[in-house]
Amino acid sequence: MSGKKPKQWFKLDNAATIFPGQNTSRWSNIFRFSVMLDRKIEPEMLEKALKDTLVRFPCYDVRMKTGLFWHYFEKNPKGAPPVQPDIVNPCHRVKFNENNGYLFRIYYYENRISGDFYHALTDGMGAAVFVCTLAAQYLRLCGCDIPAGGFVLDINTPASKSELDDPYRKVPKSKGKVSRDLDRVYHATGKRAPKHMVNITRGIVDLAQVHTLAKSYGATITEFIGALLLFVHYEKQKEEKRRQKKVCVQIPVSLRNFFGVNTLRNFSLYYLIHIDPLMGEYTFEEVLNHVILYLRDINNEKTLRAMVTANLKLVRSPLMRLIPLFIKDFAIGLGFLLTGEQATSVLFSNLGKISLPEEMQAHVNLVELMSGPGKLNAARCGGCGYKDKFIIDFANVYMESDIERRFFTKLVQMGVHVKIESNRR
Amino acid sequence: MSYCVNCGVELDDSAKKCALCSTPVVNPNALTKPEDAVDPFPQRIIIPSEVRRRYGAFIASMVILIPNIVCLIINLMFDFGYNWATYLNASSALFWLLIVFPFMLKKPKSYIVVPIDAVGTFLYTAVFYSVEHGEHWLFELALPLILVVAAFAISVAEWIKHKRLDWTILVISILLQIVVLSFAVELLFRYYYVKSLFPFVSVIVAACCIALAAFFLSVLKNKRLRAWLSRKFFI
Repeated sequence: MSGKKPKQWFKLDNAATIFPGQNTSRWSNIFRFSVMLDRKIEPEMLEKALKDTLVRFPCYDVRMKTGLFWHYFEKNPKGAPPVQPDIVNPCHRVKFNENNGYLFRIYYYENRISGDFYHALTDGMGAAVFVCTLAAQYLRLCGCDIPAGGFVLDINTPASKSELDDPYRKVPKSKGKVSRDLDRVYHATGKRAPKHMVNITRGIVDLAQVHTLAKSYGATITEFIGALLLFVHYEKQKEEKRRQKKVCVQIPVSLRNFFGVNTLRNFSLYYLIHIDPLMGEYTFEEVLNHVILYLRDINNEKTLRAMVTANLKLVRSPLMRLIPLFIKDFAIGLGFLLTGEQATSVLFSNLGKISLPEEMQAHVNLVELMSGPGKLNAARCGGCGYKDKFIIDFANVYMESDIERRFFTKLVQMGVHVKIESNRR
Repeated sequence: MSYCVNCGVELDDSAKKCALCSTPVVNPNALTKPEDAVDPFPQRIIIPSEVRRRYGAFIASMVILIPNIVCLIINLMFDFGYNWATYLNASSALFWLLIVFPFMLKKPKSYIVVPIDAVGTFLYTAVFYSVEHGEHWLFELALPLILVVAAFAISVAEWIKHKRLDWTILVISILLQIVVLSFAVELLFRYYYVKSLFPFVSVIVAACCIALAAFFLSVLKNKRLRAWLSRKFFI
């Protein structure tokens, strides 16, 4: 008998199965989470912290492999991805044989640690936990005493089974059916940025101000920002004097709280909220009211269970499982091209408030979630709160910045203080 | 600390203009000069490597080449009475030139690829001409036909390349080019076979195309009609 250990491997979770099929030489579904510390980053120390941290996250210590019927993750023998100086064009496409085979990239710039994560690996929540734990370990190596808590995991305890399992399969089946509105909707366009480039606009707003403002309308921050994005696109389309299409905002929702799961893998779904300009003129209040009513109506465990069941139905079908991978990938790629972003005008992903141990908060200035660039969406938007700030990041594949300008000036007009940083030069 | 006078947002110390509206930052009292402040974004850029199309084209070329060589050898080794491998080799060469060769170019341009394709197609027809000597159809019919079709292909490709062109103008231009092509093709055939320059089929094609072009021209000029059409036929 050979003493060689069998290779450790994972199945991709239910949401992740579609991402390799969507991958092209120009675009991958990828996003970034960053933490800004109170000190300049030392690459050697970050490298060591990364190696320490990765042990706690076996589901990220993997490379993508191709089976006959499905892709799968296999434990990566390379140790860790290289730690690289940051770049001006983050979230560029993923190639499975680059970056030591890892599906996330770690960058540093001045006081910032950033992780670009391929969506097949995890969602925003998992990425945030990983980067926060990495930053905590980095601070520990710098001599700070940082305990585990909030988004920081204890790297000395092994990962639990529930953190690594495919969480979608734990969701109880539903007999209910949900319909999805996949109409072709309005997309703001302009002069396309050069290949592999993305224009980033980071807006740092006062959390208390934006919370009070949203509350004054009876809304949450997600509802308020989602409605504002919807309204900005609606107004832009109206000014273009073109055939008026529906405008749609895509709002991802984490399922962890609904189903009591603490997974490190993908566990989210999304809602599509439309307004139809052919129905008549809308004011911002009407749009916000529509978003509030729609989200509160649909955002419940029963609907989410039905949505998960519908998604699982496809991958559980024996016929689907028997189709060779290259046909599945081709069909997924084609389906994404024809329906994917055609059905959304803009995306807003809100991670909520990032909680860190008190000892760590003194060393962390800011955190941010940046959604990767879309294929058609002029601007995809990520947001998260930290301490007294709410950080909104736009990733735009067009040279024009009118979506961002309309959005932030509207906030300014409503009395919110906004600070802008951008890679536009 | 500077604010954009146009948008009202606070700007980063390193900003020389507003990232939202490009209004220049002028703040004589700023404590930190933009040049001295740390840029929130790095300057380093990575452009990921492209898919190696040429590598794929090379593999495809080999896949085409190997069976052709095998067939040629078999044809030469055994006496079949005629060189059947010539047809296979010529057809494969034309297929390679039309389909695989463009992937070997870094930036395929229509005015480079199409003339090469035209030469290849002419040589392909010449192979058949050399095997079956008939009348002088190679230079009197095949060559002018290939040139006309090549000119049409270049013209259409160049029109389509104009991304900012209104789609109605593009459709009109293609319809008019089809009219020219049909006349040229029919006159070539008629002159070769009946020595006559009287068109017939192309007049029908021209009538249809011109009627369609006139319709699209009216769509282009008449905004109300255009709005009505997009209302009625939107997908």
